[in-house]
Amino acid sequence: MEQRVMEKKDVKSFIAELIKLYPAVYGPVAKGKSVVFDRLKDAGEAKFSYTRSILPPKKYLMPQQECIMKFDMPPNPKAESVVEFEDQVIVGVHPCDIRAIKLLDMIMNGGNPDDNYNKRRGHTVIIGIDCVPDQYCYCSSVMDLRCTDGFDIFLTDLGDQVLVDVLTEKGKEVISKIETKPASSTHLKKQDELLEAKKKLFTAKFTGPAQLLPLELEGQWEAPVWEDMGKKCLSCGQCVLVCPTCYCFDVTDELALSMKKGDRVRKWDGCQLAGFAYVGSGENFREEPGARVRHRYHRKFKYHVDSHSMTFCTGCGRCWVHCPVEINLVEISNRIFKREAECKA
Amino acid sequence: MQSLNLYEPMIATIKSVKELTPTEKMFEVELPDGKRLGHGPGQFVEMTVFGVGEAPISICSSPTDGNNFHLTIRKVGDVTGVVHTMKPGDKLGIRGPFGYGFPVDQLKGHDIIIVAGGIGLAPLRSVINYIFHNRSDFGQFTIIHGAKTPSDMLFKDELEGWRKNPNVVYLETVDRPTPEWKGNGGVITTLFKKVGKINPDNTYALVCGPPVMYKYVILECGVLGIPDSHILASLERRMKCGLGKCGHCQINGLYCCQHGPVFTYTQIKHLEEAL
Repeated sequence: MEQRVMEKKDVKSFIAELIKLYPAVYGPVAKGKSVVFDRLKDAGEAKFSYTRSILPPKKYLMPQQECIMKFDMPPNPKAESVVEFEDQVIVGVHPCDIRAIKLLDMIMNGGNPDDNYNKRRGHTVIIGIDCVPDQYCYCSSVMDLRCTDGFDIFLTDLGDQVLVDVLTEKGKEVISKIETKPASSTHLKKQDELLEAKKKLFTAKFTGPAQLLPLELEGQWEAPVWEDMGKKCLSCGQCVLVCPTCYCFDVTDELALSMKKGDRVRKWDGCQLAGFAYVGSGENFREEPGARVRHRYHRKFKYHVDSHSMTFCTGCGRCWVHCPVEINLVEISNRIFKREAECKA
Repeated sequence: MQSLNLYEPMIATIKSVKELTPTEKMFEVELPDGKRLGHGPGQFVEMTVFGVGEAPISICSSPTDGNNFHLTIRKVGDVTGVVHTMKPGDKLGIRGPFGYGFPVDQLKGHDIIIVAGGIGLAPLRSVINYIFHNRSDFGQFTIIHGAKTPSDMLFKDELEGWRKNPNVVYLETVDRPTPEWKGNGGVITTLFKKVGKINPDNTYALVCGPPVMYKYVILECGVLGIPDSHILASLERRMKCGLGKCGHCQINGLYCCQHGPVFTYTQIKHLEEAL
C-alpha cells in the first residue's frame, strides 16, 4: 500500500475533478439534521464531518429496487436479463461501511455469483474517510479500527493535511488527478495517534470478544433475551433496511399499463417482517417477533461466522439509532455474554 | 440457451395438464427444442407465470420419465392460482434445476422406505419413478402413503398400479375415511406397525409431507432402527431466488435451496427451526 499526503484545501478541487471525470460521484450530503449519501453535483455539497448516513452506501451496489429482467407477456413471451451499471465513485465511506461492502462482495461473489451486484461493484471506486464515533458506534467491538482493505483510497484528516492510503490500481488512477506527496513517518505516526485516541471515544462496548459469540450462543436458543426483545419489537423492519450488511431481497413482477410487457424487480426485504419465513402450506417458520430478532442476531454473529469466518455486524449503530423501541445489538450481545439462561437455571 | 444471468428463465411450454384433485394439477412441461432439464430426483425449479411472478415448485417426475418433466401444483397463491387456469400450449418461464435432491447413487443397493404425507407425494414421485425404472438396483421397496381423505389422494391411477405391483410394498391410509374407503384409517404413523422386519442399517427412509408430520414419522423411523444419517427429509421453504442469496428459505445457517431441500436427519436434528 502506498501512502501519500495532500493539502486539506485541495480536497474540494479533488472532488470537483472526480465529478468532471466520472459519470456519477456519490457522497455524504446534509438532509435536514441528518446526512444521506446522494449524487454530488458540486464539490461543496459533500459533508465529510458526519457520523452516520441514514442508509449505507450499499444502495449504490444493491439498490433499494432494481429491474433485473424485462419480459414480454404471452402468447410469445421473451425474457431478457437487465444489468444496469455505470462508472461511479463513492466518496466519504466510513470504515464500518467499507467493511460491510467487503462482506457483501464475499456473499455476492460466492456460490452463485450475482451478476448485477458484481458488475456494479466492478465499476465502483471507493474513497474511504476516517470518522469520529458517537454513543451509538461500537465498531471497536466487532472489527479492527485500522482500515486496511476494501477501499481504493482512504483519507485520514491530519489537520492541515490529509493522509491518503492508496490500495489499488483504481486508487492510483484516481489520486493521480491531484497533487500529492509521499507521506513521511511523521504523518504515519499522527495516523497511529489518531487511531489510539479514537479507541478511547467509544462508550458502547461488548463485554466480550465478538469472535467468541458463535460459541457463547450455544445453549442460549431459549435465553430470556429473545422473548424480552420479542415483546418490544414492532416488526417494522427499520433495522434491516438501514443495515449495511443485510442483503435479503424479494422479487416481484410489475406489469406495464399496456399489459404486454413488464419488469421483474428485485427489492430489499427483511427477515424482521412478519411474513418473511411464510411458506405455501401456511406455516410461518418464524412466527414470533422474538424468533425473528433471534434470527437476525444469529445471522450477524453466528451463521455467517460459521460459514465465512467473519462477523456480519460492523458496529455502525444504524439499527440502534433507527429502532423505535431502542433494541440494540450491544445490549443483546452483553446479555449473551452473561449467559442469563444458565444463571436462571 | 441458459443465460449467464442466473435470474433469466428459459421459456417452456405446457404440453399437458391433468387435474389430480380439485386443488392440485399436474403439468407436463417442455423446454425449448425438447432439451432435457437435467435434474435429479428431489430437485426443484423456479417457475415463472409471466406478469404474476415466480414460485419454487418440486419436480414430480424422474429424469428416467422422458425429455419433458412434470410439476404437481397446489393452488395456494397468486402464481399457483394463475397456473391452474393455464392450458396446453401456454408458456411458462423455468429456472433450474436447483438444490440437493435424493442421492440416488448412494441409495443404490439399499432397501428404501418412502414416507409421503399429502402433497409430499409429489416430490417423492420423482424418486419413486426412478426406483421403478431401475428396480434391480435397489433392495426391498416400501411406500407408506397418507392423505387427509380418499379424494385428496394424488396420482390415483398410479396408486392403483402400485397396489397391484409385486415389486413394491404399498401401504396407505387416510386421516378421515369415507364410507366407500376400504383401506386403513388414521394418521400415517399407524402404518409403521405394518412394515415387516427390516434390515435398518441397509435401509434409507425418504420423507416428505406437511411440517407437522416430520417429528412423528422420524420417531417411527428411529423405532425401526434406521440410523439418522439414513433418514432423508425433503423440507418446504419459500425459495425465492434458488441461489442461496435472498434469505427466505434459511434454516438456521443452512439455505434450503442450496443445502437442501433434501437433508439427512443428522444434518437437521440440532437445527431449531428445521422441523
